[in-house]
Amino acid sequence: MEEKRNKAAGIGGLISAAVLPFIIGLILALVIGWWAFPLVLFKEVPQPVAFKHSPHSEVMECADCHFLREDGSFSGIPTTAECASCHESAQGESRAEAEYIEKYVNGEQEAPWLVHQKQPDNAFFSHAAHSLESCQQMGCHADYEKAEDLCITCHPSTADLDKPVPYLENRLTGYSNSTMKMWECERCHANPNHLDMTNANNACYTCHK
Amino acid sequence: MDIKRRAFIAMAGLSAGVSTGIVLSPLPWKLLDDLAIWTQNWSWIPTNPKGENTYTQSTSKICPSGCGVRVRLLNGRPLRALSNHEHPLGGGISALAAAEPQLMHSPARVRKPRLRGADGKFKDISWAEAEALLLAKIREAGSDVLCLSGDENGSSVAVLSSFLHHLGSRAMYLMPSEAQCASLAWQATCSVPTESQPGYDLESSDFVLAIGANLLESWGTFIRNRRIFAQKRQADENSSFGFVYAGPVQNQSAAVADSWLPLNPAAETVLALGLANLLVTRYGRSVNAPGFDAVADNLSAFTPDLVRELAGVQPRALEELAEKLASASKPLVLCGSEFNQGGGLAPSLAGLLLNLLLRAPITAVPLHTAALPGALSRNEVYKNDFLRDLAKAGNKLTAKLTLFYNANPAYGLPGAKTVAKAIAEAPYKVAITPFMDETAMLCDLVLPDAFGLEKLDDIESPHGCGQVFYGLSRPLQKPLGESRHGLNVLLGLGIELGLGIGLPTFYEDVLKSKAAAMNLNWRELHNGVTFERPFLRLDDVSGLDLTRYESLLFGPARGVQAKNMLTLAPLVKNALGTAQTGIPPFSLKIVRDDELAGQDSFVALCGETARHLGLAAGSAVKVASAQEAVFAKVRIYEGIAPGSVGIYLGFGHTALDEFSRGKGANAFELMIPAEEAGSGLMVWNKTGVTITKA
Repeated sequence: MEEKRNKAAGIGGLISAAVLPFIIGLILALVIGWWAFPLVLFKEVPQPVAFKHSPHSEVMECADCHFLREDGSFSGIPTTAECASCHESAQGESRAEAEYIEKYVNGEQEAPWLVHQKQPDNAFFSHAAHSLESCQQMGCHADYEKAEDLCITCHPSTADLDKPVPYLENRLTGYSNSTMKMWECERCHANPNHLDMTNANNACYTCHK
Repeated sequence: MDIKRRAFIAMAGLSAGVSTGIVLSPLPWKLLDDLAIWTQNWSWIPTNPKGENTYTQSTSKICPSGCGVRVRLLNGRPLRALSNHEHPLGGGISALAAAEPQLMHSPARVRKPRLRGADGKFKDISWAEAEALLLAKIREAGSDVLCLSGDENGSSVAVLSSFLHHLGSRAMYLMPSEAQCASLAWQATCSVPTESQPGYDLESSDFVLAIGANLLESWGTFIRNRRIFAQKRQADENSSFGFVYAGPVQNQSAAVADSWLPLNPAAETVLALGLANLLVTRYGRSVNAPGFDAVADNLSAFTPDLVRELAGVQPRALEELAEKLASASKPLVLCGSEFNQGGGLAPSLAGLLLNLLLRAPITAVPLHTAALPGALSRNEVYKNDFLRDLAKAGNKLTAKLTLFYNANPAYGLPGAKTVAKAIAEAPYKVAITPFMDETAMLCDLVLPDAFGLEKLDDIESPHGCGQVFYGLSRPLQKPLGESRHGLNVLLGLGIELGLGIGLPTFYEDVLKSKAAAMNLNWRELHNGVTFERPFLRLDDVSGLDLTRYESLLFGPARGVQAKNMLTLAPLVKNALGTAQTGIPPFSLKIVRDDELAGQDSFVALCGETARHLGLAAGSAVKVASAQEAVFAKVRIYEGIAPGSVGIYLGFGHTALDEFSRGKGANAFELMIPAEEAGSGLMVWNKTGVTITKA
């Protein structure tokens, strides 16, 4: 009897001796994995110019700068020449604008903008195939009134921001932390009956040429 | 260290906790994913440049059809050639023209001048050394210089022949082609306008009979032909437009024709004369020209029975075809060699005779020659037959200096090995070429020429077009390596040699003068605009004379004998490139498994012929002519006439790059050139072969 009691106390003691370190280890690892690791993995890289979307979105449409070309390719970020059509001389008193004009407009060079959504070469994405017109033709997103409504399903809206979105560069891959991964594409492409409409093709060659 | 039991358990608990926490965090999964991506972004892995696409127009100089292209450029660099529907010779794009931007970066490109050393190996030299050496060799050779060019549509003919003229030589040659036969036939038939070629107004025709001419794949302006064909077919599903193809192989044209008439190889002339005979005797057709009575007398021998015996066409089929031609309002006959060369004058004359009898919509397309002292027109150069003169000289190139301009005769002439031997033994030979091809490999000095979209060049009325055409191939990027425009190099040497009288400094000046003489706007032309100019209808052509048909046409036609052996039926596929380009890497994916398997190319036999020879699909065979033997595999194809052996041209390169070298057999090695009775031109469209198991 005494022997049995001693044995039970021993097992209980062992468990109690292991549980606390387990919990401590678990919490430590979760903190490292969820908080410290991203801090180490990503570094914030400043954009070449402290660009603000908000003053622009007050007077312009998004598509004035970010548009589909006639051949279906997407213009992406406007060129210096396109920016210079308004900013050949300063529009305000912003120091960033003055620096931009001095360095890039007057220097006739392109600003090395860091693209949050840059995709690798092996991923071929056509904005034209994902345009509002395409979606409306298929009947899905018929409630969207303007292209921006659709754009923000993939790209976080920056129209109202009065400071640049921090560009967090992955130290290993060189891509930003906002770069869309394949699983995000798969939300539609692996679900061909997306909204019962798209019949999105999920064959490899659809995106990988 | 003494670890107590309790401490061990605590450590185990901590480890388990850390492990569990790590697994439940993104750390391992994100790290694995990022490591995989990291390996894709190593600095030495090339990446696509980003930028804006721009488009510009040009004309493909490397595609024999001279088709128009719309070039996509990224940051000013040509990336892709697309079809140009606004171009007179466009409307689609050939496989070769589509490959042009990529081909400019071919590993076979010559990047620096190369000199063969005493050990037989090439070494790179500077342009200054190369020019000094060539200058010395030209001075040494005096007037004993020969030039063979592979460019028949451009003003290079005028520049090269003028250069030779200044040296005192008239030994200017072009690589043989269907255009040469058509041009000589035209010159033998009508004398006005003096410098012209036959044009084919496909647009207005309502019935086309192609005898041998692979209208939609390789004959003449085949991209334009395809566009017209498509338009006629699309215009009305029940279109009255008719198209019949007659030839030994059910090729790309036969596949879409209303009907295919199987024909023995090299029997094009016999079929055409059989039809002409029926048109004269049954439909009362005639030609108002001297010599027609003698022609009619000679035609009477080409009865349906003789056509059956020599061409393998049944009398009933012949009569039906004659009726179709006679009843069409604007029939047009295109007659030539199925592989665009080697047919001689007779098929072109026979086709022309049929067109004259039918009052077909053929035209006289005036030609313009750049105004340079002593320059020869291409019609004049066509009269020089390189193979005939080579044979007369005992298969030896005796000129002290032989110049090859964009030509690869060591691969692309019949009896290729004999030609290669002659080149190897020639006193001194120089190649101006963009590619290190078979001929360049045999030369003493190789000068890297700019290529395709790297150089300014012109294209004037390619064979087969219906109107006068003039367009430019425009330089859209810097020449690769140290390549230069070969004609500018020659013109520069001309000045050094003191030949300067009338010779311009730059080739661009030649083209500008030519455009001005044609009343064309250079600036518009340089922007990619192409021009079509008036032409003469047959009614306006004067000086028709058929008196020479007796010797030129009926002499060789009577010499055709019934087929009693296997005959080679060479096939052309544009995707397999030209003798000069080799197989573009861009086109490899459309080379089919029954055209090339590994290193083996195929010969096509119909089931009946294969059974007779005891062969099955895939059998390894030796194909031998009296000249040479090659090895291949058997493909059973019922779209080939019994007794004919289909073999693709374009395989069997021994030079160029890994995409062409050592792939299959070179059919040119099997062919044997022989002199055509009457014209004296060399022909090689009826090569008898034997096939045995290898």
